[in-house]
Amino acid sequence: MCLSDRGLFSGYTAGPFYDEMFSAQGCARSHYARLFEKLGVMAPTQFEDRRKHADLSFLLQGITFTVYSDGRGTERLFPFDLIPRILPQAEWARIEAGLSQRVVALNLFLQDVYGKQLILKDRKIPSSLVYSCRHFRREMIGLEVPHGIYTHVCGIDLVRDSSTGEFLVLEDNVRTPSGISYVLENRLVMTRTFPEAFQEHEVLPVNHYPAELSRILRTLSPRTDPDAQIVLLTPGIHNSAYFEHSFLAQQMGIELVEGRDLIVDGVVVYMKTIYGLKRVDVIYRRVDDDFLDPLCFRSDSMLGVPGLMGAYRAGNVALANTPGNGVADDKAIYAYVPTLIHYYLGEDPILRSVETYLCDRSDHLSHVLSNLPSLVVKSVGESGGYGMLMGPSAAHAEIEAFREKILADPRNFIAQPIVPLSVVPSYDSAARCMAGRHVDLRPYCLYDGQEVTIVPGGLTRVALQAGSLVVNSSQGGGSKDTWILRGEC
Amino acid sequence: MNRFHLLHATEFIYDGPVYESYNEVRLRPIHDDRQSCLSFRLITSPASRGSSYKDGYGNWIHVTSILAPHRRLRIEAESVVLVHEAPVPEPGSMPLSGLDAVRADLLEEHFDWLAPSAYVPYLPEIAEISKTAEAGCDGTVAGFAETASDFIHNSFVYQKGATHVNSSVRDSLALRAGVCQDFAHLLLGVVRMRGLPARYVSGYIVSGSATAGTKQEEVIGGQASHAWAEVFLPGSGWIGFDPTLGKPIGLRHIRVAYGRDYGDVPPVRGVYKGRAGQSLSVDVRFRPALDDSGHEQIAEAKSESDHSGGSIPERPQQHSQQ
Amino acid sequence: MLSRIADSLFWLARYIGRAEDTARILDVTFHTLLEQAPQPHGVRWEPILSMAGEETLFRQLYTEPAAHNVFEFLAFNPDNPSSIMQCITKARENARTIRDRISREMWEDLNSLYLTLGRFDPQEETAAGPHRFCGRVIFGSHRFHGVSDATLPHDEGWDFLRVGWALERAEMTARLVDVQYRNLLALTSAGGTPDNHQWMAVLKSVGAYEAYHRQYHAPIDPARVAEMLILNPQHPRSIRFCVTEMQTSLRAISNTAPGSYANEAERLTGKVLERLRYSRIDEILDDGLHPYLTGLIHQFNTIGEVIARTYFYYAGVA
Repeated sequence: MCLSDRGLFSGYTAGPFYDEMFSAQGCARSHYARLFEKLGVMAPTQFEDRRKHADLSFLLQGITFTVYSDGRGTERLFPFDLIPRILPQAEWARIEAGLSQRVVALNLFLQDVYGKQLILKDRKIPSSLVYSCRHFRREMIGLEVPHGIYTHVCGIDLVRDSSTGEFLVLEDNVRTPSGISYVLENRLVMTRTFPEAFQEHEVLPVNHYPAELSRILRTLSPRTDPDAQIVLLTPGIHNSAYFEHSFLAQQMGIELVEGRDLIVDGVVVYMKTIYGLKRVDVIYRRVDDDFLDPLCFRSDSMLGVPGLMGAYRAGNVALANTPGNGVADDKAIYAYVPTLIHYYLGEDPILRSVETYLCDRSDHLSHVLSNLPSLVVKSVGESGGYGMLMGPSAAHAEIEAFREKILADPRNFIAQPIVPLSVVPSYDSAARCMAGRHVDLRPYCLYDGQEVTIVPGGLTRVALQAGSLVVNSSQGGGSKDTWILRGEC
Repeated sequence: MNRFHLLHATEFIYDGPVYESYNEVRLRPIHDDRQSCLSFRLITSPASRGSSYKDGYGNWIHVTSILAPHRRLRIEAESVVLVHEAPVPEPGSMPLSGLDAVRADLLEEHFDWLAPSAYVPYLPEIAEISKTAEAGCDGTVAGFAETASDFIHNSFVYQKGATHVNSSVRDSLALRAGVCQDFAHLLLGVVRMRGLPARYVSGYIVSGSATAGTKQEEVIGGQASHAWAEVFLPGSGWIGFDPTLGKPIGLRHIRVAYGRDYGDVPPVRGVYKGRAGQSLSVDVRFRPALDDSGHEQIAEAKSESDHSGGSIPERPQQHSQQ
Repeated sequence: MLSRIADSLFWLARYIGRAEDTARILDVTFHTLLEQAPQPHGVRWEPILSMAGEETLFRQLYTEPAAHNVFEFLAFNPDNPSSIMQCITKARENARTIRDRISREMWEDLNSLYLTLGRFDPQEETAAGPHRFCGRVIFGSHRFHGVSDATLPHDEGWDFLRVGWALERAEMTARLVDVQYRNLLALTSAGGTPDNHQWMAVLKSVGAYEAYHRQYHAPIDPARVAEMLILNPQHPRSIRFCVTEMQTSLRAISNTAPGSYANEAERLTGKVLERLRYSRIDEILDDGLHPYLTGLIHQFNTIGEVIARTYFYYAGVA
């Protein structure tokens, strides 16, 4: 089954990048063959109809995120592309093993740096690097966390390198990763929009995520009370991920609370109900460390709960994820994750990382400064595609401005070669045709202290601008449903 | 050896009702081989539920919470402390030139005590003082720290009210003046920039009248709450320097908490709800706990809305919907 | 149930109710004005503005109370906190903060109302007249009631919604009768003759016109209109009916048996209801309708505050 004037795909070429759907010869890869057959015969108008239907469905449900670029938040749809990202199960199995290994190692690292600090004493990673991480929380040192779990929920960003076809880890997100609601909603909308495609493919389900998360949260409860009260703490309606917070709370059947709904009396957390105070046992918090407890962290925070860390320290409430996790997803620490995997697990990393230059190492710095136009430079503590320089597409002035920034604060920057991301055919609604667009993949990993559970697939983010490598929703990215096909290799 | 009974009262008066008030209190004197904290008691009025823990630097932190509306909050810390002889640098202290060889190791061991901090950024003016101190000292790390401390003592004017509780060294450098907090911060900057780890010490200085058998001496500024710095001298360990007094650390310095700078160790820091302003007064009293001659002398230092109370930012009240 | 959620449900209902009431009054007044022969003492717009409590703001924003200005102000103006669009926006904001606690259908219904109304072009609508827009608002409010009734568990949350609806309606009916009665009486004493159209407008604006005729089989009479809107036990917009609803819901929340009360909100509601039950319209008119209604509005405000204190705000433990 090859590309040759097939309706929707007429004029489609993969370009110089790894195409997830078509081989270099322009033939559909075996795990895409049936879908290609189906879409190939579809008239563009028919496809357009389904696309509109899907968009309307997102709009009516209010599945939006908030952008604050204009100073007064605007709700926007996270664009959804109807062509799924398909991976065969065998390839997924390797990804899954690699992610599990990574999550366990990151958790052991967090236990260690906030505990005995053996890895620092053994000089495997500079303690100055750890202590200088913006998100390293001295308040967490020596604090015993429930079951020793730090990384309850991780979102690890993967990219496929076009030059090798191999999946690489691009970034770890172990603080409060978001996006899982899009995975679940995308699947729902997809099954409604293309029901027939699901009849022909055995797509591994994803909808057990809320139940699994809820189970893990329940095991954290300090009280064995069957009525253990679990809540999701949100910064509120103005947060860009608010939809996800309310979605997850509803799916898990737990209370969605804001900081002002909670109160600490002594070292016990309560929520304010119409019938008085009710004790809270577990908080799945989607509020950043900085804002979690104004007594302990930023005193100007109005989103948090004063005294919360005291209750946590006393073991009367569990928090997920654990405060202080940001040290593990610092982009400079990222360069050491292979070391962590060796150190804690005695294993080789299953998934490779992208080569990374640390600007506070003088040998790396000189390399970075002389190769800025070919590198991507990232600010270590940022996420969401902010504070980045994309060398190849940046203007001279922008590069020079970044050079100044790097020299002023080298510890704050790392640089990596540009990874030529793979592409997946995506619908270009302006040109009304299919075009290859770059994608990444963020699987969501849940850790209960024993095992890592990963819902098959994850969020495929797609850079909808032609040629763009930036997939973040805040930077014009969209998403796709991700299918792992049972039995396909 | 000196033995003191210490009463530190902090009182907030609000001009309206406040509620859901939480405070972190760092008032429990350090207990180690140089100082014994024989007893400690913390009382709040209105009564509060509390908890306590030891932070990563070994300081005791007490957390109080008062939910019901109140217009006044009094926090009283009472302790009995035994102060032993302070250590002095070992003779034959390491030469300053030897620091370069251990620079990387010191950074690995003492990152927090070497890195620039919010109150103590690395500034060219501080590097200047460091150079001056280096030129004027005997070439050892101990001599350098002492010279730096003396230099700050002699070049800056102790001036109550010159700076405020949130002032960084930038302010005192500009004014060439400050209070003990600023003097301590300056010394931290000077020695850190030369590669010596140093930590901020929050504590008390007991005025002469409270030490039995010693001659009445004036405590600068009449303040009991005090701050100075301890410098890590390779070969000797942590040695205290008091750039405010310009004298060695002695039996009248009581240590309460260690931090990178003042920001880590304010005696009382908290948040509350309610639209109300506040005024603060702090009252610290000492007496020799066991006076051989049977006399009881009380030294008193009183200050209003001063450094020692810490900053209490207001958390604006949440709005009800209308 | 979290206090904040109860608070949001209560206000969600109030804002929807407020939008509907404003739409009704706007629509009816506009069409009454159309049918009215030009006369110096005819129905005017000012009372409507004073009913919405935004007369001062209106004068700051517009030069004259012309129909299109009033419509624009009450329907769309984002600077008017009581404009229909603002009420719907606030209702949706409240719903959004609790969308995990309301049914998916309720959220989607309200969100789609918000999106639909947002597509109306203020200029085009102002030219076309309020009927289409107001009709959509009134229908949207009714549909939201229906969707809520059919999809939300009838637990405390449902009762807070009902309290919000009932309190908003009771207050709005009181304001409507107060303002219109004064207006029409002033007209009479000034020598004008308020005709049936104007009293019909009052009844129509609360959807009680047909019910009035079934009840009284008689020509429209101001005292009867007042009786219908204040004391009628069956009509869903009469004050007595609404207060009965409030009492039922408040008791359901606290699980209190009839004949007793568990908190101040219930005591005050019960007191108001007893007065409504045992009053006759001629007594009320003799004592003065205006002070009577002003008193009621004041008590409704107090009840709203007491409900908030009892259930929504936590002010420290005793």
